[in-house]
Amino acid sequence: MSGDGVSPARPAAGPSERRFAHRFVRRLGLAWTGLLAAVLVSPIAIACFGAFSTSEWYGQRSEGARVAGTGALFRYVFDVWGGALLHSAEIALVVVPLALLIGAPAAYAFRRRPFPGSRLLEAAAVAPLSVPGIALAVSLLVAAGGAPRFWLLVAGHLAYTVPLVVKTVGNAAGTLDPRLEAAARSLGASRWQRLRRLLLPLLAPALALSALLVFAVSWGEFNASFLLATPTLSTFPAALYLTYTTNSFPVGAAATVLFLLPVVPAMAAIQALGGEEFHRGMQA
Amino acid sequence: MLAAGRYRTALVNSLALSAATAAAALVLALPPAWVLARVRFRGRDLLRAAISLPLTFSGVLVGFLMIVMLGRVGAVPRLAGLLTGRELLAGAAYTSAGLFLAYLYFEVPRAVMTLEAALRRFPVELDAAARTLGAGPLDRLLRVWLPLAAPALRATLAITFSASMGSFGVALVLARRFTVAPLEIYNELVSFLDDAVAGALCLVLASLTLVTGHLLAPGAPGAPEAPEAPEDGSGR
Amino acid sequence: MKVELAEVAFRYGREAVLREVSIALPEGGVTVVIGPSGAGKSTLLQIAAGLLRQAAGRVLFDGRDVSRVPAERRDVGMVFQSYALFPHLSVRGNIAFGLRTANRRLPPREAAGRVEELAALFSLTPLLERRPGELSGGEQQRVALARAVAPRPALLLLDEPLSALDAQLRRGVRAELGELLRRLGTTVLYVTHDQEEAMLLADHLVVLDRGRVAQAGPPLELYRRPASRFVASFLGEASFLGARALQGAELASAPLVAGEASAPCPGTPPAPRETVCRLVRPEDVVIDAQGTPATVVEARGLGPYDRVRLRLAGGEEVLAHLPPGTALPPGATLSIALKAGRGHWLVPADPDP
Repeated sequence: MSGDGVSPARPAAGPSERRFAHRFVRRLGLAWTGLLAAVLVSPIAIACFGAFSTSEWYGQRSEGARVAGTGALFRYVFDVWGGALLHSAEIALVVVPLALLIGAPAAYAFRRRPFPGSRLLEAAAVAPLSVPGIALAVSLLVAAGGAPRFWLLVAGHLAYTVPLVVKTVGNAAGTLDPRLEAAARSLGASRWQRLRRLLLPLLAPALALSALLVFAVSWGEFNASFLLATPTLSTFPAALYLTYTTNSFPVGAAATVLFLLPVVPAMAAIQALGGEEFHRGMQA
Repeated sequence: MLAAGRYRTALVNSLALSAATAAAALVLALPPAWVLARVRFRGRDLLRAAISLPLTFSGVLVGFLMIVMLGRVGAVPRLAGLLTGRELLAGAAYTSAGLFLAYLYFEVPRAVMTLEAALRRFPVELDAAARTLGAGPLDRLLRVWLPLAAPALRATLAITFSASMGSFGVALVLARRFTVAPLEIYNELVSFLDDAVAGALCLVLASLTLVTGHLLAPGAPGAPEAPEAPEDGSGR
Repeated sequence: MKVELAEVAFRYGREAVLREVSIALPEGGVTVVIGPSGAGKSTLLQIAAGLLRQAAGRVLFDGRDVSRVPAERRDVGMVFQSYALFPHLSVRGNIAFGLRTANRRLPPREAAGRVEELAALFSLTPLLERRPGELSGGEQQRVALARAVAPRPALLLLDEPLSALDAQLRRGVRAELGELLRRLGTTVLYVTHDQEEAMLLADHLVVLDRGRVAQAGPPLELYRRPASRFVASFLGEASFLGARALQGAELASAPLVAGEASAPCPGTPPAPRETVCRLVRPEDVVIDAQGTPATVVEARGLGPYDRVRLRLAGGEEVLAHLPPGTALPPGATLSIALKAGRGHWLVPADPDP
């Protein structure tokens, strides 16, 4: 990592001592970044390792012989929390397409076809992001407490995920060259053809990113879900809470591993698909 | 109703904890955001992925991780025990400092990602222009970078602050004597079955969050807050 | 100030952007560097400014090597292609920026006076409190220039300052700019890819091609006597006619030979038997009854002149700007010759188009 690191317009280093200072500052920044990543990841690694280790380090197994080996441990977690796992998956699978169907056309309209009041509507669409989850859950309970719980949970998740779609897709739609649509029109493309052959391919990365993010957020949502959950309809994060407070450490670790299983690939895919571009759209 | 000491304490705690978290997260996130946005090096994507991993974690999971690290038999006290013979920081996870650390664990990644996005599109040419006008590093920091980055810094503060105000799972797992507003709301609902008090607390919490967020980062959402970077005009 | 770039080289990754470029800028004059995109013009400018550090070679200000002096202490002013105006500052704040920095600190009253003075000079007085976002392209360009010259830099650098303006505005601003630069009397290094702009503004013209100086000199000299086909065609329309020298200026198979007798070609006479190539500028072709016969391929009236493509007996084509109203149909024949003293030998006839 010599003088090459930075963008082409890199300011030139001055005299050699300045150059040295420059390099030192950069090394410091790199070390800081590496340290932060290590501090963030090591608890995850240590916790997950607990599911695969029989070391005393990770404490007694109060559940006894049923969780003696790793295989037995995961079977036990499945037996107890499999229902919650399934519910979380079901909810996520319903929320992802719904959030896209609601959020993506809205985002496109806000950016490309603004109408009177569209700014207000957009503000309202992203507002739930800054409302505490528990407050949202309470208002859902007050407003529609009688509705089926499953759909109440879906509604809670949509409140947090639709804004993400609006932001990501809106950002991508905002950077589209408006002349492209005019060009397609001049070439005789119908409305449907423009959508299928121009807009969808151009917005595909943003749609894929938001789908992944919606999934990850829905899968991990606790603040609103915990209150909306019932004994028979619990989500996996709510199950995690119960595991952490009632079970022994290795059981909690195994549940954590199950929770992370889809999150890690989802976040990795978000980064691979252009994470840095993506976070730009996430800003308020 | 706000006179009830417990609620007021919870709200004040929430405000103080969120403010401290937002401020500390901003400071901690600036160098990594700068490095990820502006320095090219091998492994950058891996580092970014690692830092962004906790973004969608449940609060309860973060609480669990804190217990893994700083619980009564956590990894840090164990390691300290091996190295020094004394199990330092055992049970720190359950103190207010532990809660603060857990909040930071949650918010630093968010702050890094938000800031990185802003720094990435920062118009570098303005820095070059300032240099040709004779501005030294301090001049440029105070007269170019800070004023231009201010909206992004404020947005970062607003985002991390409001996320911390709503954070519930972490406190549910970790908080012992220390209480925060979402926890009180939950208690009202579940233990005392008092919907009215819970609703009122919710309203206060939500409005405090929204108002503070708006004060920190005014402007309609979705509006481009920083000036767009002009295309780099270098001959390359 | 006398400025000299001596054997400056720069690479970007593995690619050489500049290879041993040497340019001496006349003191107080305007040096224009012209070249196609990718020639390394902007890189050269950034090296002169101290924003980029050359891999080899020296940058000399009045004979002093400033290669290690960073941009902020080099005493240069720069106008960026995109103007790079500070969006958070008013026009006044932008112009005043360079007057109060760590390296140049004017007393506030003096700085304010200087801002007013420049605002008057650049007709910006009514706009002083506006933000850059509220200005038109031409106004932004003037602010950028005012900001760059406010601290009275010893060297003024301009990176395609007119390329962001539309064609009509550019023409007006171009003339104004030339006058202004001369009035300032600062040593100027100006980069452009526009040939007309270069001819109009330059005291000293440097043609850059793929990181090398193709030719440098007074603009008209380069236009009339280019060193290569590249320079010839970059600075204007040109026809190239193949020929082989027999002895001295005596030529075999050279068309326009009839004009030759009356108009001996200037420049170094080619060595005997050398293959040469003859540059003919379209405005140098005249109708001459004693001239070479030529057939009209295509003719087009452009207003000030007719642009006519002609085919010579040997099959080679010549482009001519003939007086307007000639209205020649394709297929018509006429005889042409070169104006006295015009035409130029390119030796050797390099094969590039």
